[in-house]
Amino acid sequence: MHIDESKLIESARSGDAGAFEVIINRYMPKALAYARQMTGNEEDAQDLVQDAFFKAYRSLDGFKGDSGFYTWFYRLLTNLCLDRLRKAAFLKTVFFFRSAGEDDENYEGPLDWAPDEHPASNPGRVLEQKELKGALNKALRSLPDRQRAVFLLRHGEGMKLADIAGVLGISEGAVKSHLVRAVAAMQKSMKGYV
Amino acid sequence: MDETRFCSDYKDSLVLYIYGELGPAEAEQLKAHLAACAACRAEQESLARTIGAVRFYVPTRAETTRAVSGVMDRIGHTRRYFARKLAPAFVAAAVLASALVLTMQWMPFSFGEPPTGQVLMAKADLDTLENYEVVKDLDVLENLDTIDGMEEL
Repeated sequence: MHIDESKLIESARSGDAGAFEVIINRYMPKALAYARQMTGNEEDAQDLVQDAFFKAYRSLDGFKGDSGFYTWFYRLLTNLCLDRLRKAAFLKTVFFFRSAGEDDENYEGPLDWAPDEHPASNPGRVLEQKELKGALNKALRSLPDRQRAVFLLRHGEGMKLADIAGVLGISEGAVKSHLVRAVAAMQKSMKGYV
Repeated sequence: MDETRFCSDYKDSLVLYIYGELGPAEAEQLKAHLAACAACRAEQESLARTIGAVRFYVPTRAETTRAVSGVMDRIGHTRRYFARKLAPAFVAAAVLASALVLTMQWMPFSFGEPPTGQVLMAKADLDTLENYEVVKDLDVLENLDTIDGMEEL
């Protein structure tokens, strides 16, 4: 049964943790996928998504309902992801740290591909798909963080450009520009694969 | 079709067109250009193949369950912590604060200016104390009884 979100939020605001659990279950798979694709790491994704939902629960009184809960929550989550990526970049610059999987040819990145229904019957196709997956992951990882966020929110989450602008706190024009550049960069990186 | 626009001018519009984010007028203009321009049609197909090739990660049920449990545990922990540790402290503080306010309201005295008579009496006491400066020797104090006796004589 689909319970109205505003009612669930109202119940959660008055202390009903069960109502909030319904909301969490509704959004968790997409939120996890988004955080995983932003950070390229499952553990970071778990941490960030849990932090974001916990923060959302504690800040429910501050949620005025001007935007949807979905947009409001993604603003929290995206800010946490971008902060984590900024810190990681800082550590990498200062201490020459390498993040997990970086520069590793066998790294299983966040992107997937449409699986072949009969992989054993066509080993050449399997190899091709593995290469394509590697190229996709490399292309996504090479995007600047904000461009990656825009691409994932539009392409992965199916969010409207106006909502993405709200999530990132930038203009709709800037969102369009990020999206165009992200797709152009992906196209360039995947030349020869698609 | 706007003949003054070059193919490079449509490059950005192609991506937005594929995502359905182009305004109706601009979309019509681009459609007309695509019908006439093989290079732009090829570019559109290449972009569409790139976008179509991306399949996003889908978390497993175990990953989702773990994340949901993690959040609910933290919420539960905070609520339990509040109930066990912080709530009694808040209640005690509230009771003490209320008691203090009530006591101050029901007290028979006030913290305002003292009556004029009290000020005069205090001033007289101060004069007396100043006169005690004559008693400089403790022996005099110890022999006060003797002095009193001598006065009686």
